[in-house]
Amino acid sequence: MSPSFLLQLLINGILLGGLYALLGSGLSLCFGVMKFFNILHGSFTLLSCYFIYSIFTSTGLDPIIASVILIPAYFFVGFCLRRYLIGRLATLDAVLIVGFSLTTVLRNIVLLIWGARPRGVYTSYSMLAFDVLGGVRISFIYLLCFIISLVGLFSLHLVLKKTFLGIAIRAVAQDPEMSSAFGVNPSLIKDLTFGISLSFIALTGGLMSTIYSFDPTLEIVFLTKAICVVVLGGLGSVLGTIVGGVVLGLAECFAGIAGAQYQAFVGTVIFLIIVLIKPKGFFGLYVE
Amino acid sequence: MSVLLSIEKVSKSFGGIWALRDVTFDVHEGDIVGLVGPNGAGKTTLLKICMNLLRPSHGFIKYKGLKITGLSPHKTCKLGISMTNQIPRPFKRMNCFENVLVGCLFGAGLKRNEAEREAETILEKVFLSQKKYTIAGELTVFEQKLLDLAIALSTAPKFLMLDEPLAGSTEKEVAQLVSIIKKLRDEGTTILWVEHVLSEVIENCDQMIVLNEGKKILEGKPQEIVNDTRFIEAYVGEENA
Amino acid sequence: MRLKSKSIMFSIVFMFFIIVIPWILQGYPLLFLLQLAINIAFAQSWNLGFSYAGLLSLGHALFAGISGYVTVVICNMGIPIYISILIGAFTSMLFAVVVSPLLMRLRAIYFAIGTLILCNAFQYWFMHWTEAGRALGLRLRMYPEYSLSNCYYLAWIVAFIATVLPWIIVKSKLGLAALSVRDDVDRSEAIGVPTLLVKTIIFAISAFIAGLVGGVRVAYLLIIEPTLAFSFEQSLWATLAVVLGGTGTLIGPILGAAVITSLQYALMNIPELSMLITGVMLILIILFLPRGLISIVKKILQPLRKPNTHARPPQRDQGTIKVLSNHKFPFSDCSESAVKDVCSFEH
Repeated sequence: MSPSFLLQLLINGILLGGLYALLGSGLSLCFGVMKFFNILHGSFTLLSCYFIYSIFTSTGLDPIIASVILIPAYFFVGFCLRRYLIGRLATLDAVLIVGFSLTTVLRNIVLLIWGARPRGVYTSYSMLAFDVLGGVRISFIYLLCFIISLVGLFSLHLVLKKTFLGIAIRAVAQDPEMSSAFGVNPSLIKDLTFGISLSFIALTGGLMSTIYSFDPTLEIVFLTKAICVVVLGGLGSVLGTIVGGVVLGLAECFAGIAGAQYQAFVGTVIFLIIVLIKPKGFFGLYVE
Repeated sequence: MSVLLSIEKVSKSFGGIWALRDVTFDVHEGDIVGLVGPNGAGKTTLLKICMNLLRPSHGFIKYKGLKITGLSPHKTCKLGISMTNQIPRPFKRMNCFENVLVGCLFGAGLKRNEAEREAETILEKVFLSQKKYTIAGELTVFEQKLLDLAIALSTAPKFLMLDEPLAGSTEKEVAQLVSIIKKLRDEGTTILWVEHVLSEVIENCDQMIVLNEGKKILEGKPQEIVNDTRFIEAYVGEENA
Repeated sequence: MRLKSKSIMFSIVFMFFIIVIPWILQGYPLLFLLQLAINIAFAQSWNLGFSYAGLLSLGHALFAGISGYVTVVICNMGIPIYISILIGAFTSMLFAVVVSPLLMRLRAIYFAIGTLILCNAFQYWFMHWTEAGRALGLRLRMYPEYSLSNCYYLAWIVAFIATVLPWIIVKSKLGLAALSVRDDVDRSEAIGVPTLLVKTIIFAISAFIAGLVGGVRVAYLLIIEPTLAFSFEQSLWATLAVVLGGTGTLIGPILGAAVITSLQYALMNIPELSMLITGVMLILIILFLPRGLISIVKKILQPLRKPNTHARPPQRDQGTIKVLSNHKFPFSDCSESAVKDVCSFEH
């Protein structure tokens, strides 16, 4: 194994990591604020892949731009979903079962509309790559996704730290009751947060569609990866999510050495290891 | 009287906030010990540590001379330790009889027939015999409190911890509860009683411990403590000391 | 006594029909009943974990799948099908026990997600495992006595076990402990119940029953392959059957299974649509009929029953645990007044 090969893997891992961080950010936000584990995370990501695909194949609109356009739609859906469905459910079991049912519903909608054949989004620049010194190729798409992911994560960070909404979100995350005593409507904040979480999912899905080929079975893969990222990086900090994403990205790239089938498995393996080490609830929130 | 439970330099922090700091005291067999202190003083946390539902950050608990910290809660229960909860926690979807029966079967380790008889006896003790087959979720708040106590008693404890049993009760209910508590002591149960209703504590306890902000500030006979300025400060505020 | 003798009579008549039917009917209706038995058994398996120990398993197909594969391998070695199925079921049970220390320590949702991911991991693994036939799976070759009616009887024996076994457990000390664990794990632990052990045992038995189902399924289909064996769809069907029928009872899953089997057959040709409907149904049921069909049945039969005072002392010989009455669906927080559950297996 030449050093340039390793360097290639390293770079790919980091670039991919940015995208994975974006993938995990939605889940992190959702769980951190609402203590609601969004089992639909993978489904919605996959769905946005398909939407982008359809938009791209029918109108030729660039997937990145299409993702940005999808964001408000997803925000709206997320907001309504939380407000009218999830917020109404009394217990965790109900939420999980409903979530599980919804994933099935979404998967079958995808199957009905798009079929089981794998799809991919191939733009004019999909194959573009730069040759950098040392024999390393940097794929343009990877780089683009990486940059956009960082921009997205950075804006999230800014929103959470600097805006009133962000402060309200963090307050509700820590103590919903006290927040309401200060004039913040926790229910509304939760609805908004879920909307934001879904917005990030929209963007992530759009970006993912340019890199991966996807089929209807992929939603749990996305979910597993998102869980890994959040677990590895910890909850609550954008930087942590980035770290988690990069670690996963690197792990995947290096696992690819052993064989392509192991790459997809990496996420699950990491998940199982975490379960072994941190049994009380991997987000560290379930303190005795 | 020998020491039944010994709390040795127990400290507990929750992410940097110290709920308890170096708390040390003994509970003697057969006593009723009152544990008082303002809200947030760490009383419930201490009880949970005794029950091994929480692990102390430092220090440990000794029961009958043996260190019990680190055991699982169900083993702690089998040793003879039990606790009630500030907000009653019965098993909401089972009826009262079943609620108590579980403890008799498992905590006290009785055989089926004995356990059933014991469960009936305990329900009588807490005046809930009429509600034997009522689902716990449908009881009134006070009845749930009684049931919570019954559940704690079902495990045949030698050391019983009560977490603010009188909170929110009417005079009549208070009298009822206190009579049950006194009867328990007369039957030989050692009791650690966390309470806010000071008058009852002062009247009925052999010993009193005062916690404030996680530290033990006073220990002794109720009458002595009540007149101590530090006690008055902690509860009422400095101007009134 | 009236109700109990009614229940028993009804059960006997029902069993009689089940046994006799293959001589009267052939083909399609028999197939339906076979599928019904499988669905009942799988639903009961899931119900045991969920209603009686609070274990929400989203990847329940895992146990059926493992057992299925083991059954095929063992049977292809020449061992009779019945024993193979038992071995398969025991393997699933063993797996559940091994995996329990990992899963049981996880609280609530993590357990559910954990089972989901584990099931998916197995699907992925078996897809790529050459010895297990990869995507094509394995074929059951050595089953000379194969016939529709044999499979039919197998399925109903399993359905019977799947219903009776939880019933026995629920009435026992273990069942009582499981209920307390379901309601409040910490409190249960604090009164001496070894909660981890209780959850593991219930989970293991649930896995065993699921394993029996997996074995029977493979005996009927004669083939097992990863997408079917470890599919989420199976788990969803089981969940729907239980939720639709009514959780916390032993007849709920039977009612629910009847409905979903009909649904499966009605929509046999459009699998995506049937799954879509399943999902939507589940959501609607949770929102609008959380207590399941059982609550409707109760309401209809209410006027027919003699009035009961709930202070009536129970029969000594049956034990005093009226465990099957009034167990509320875990979704709603409001309670109902005590009403004798006519469909329970109690008197």
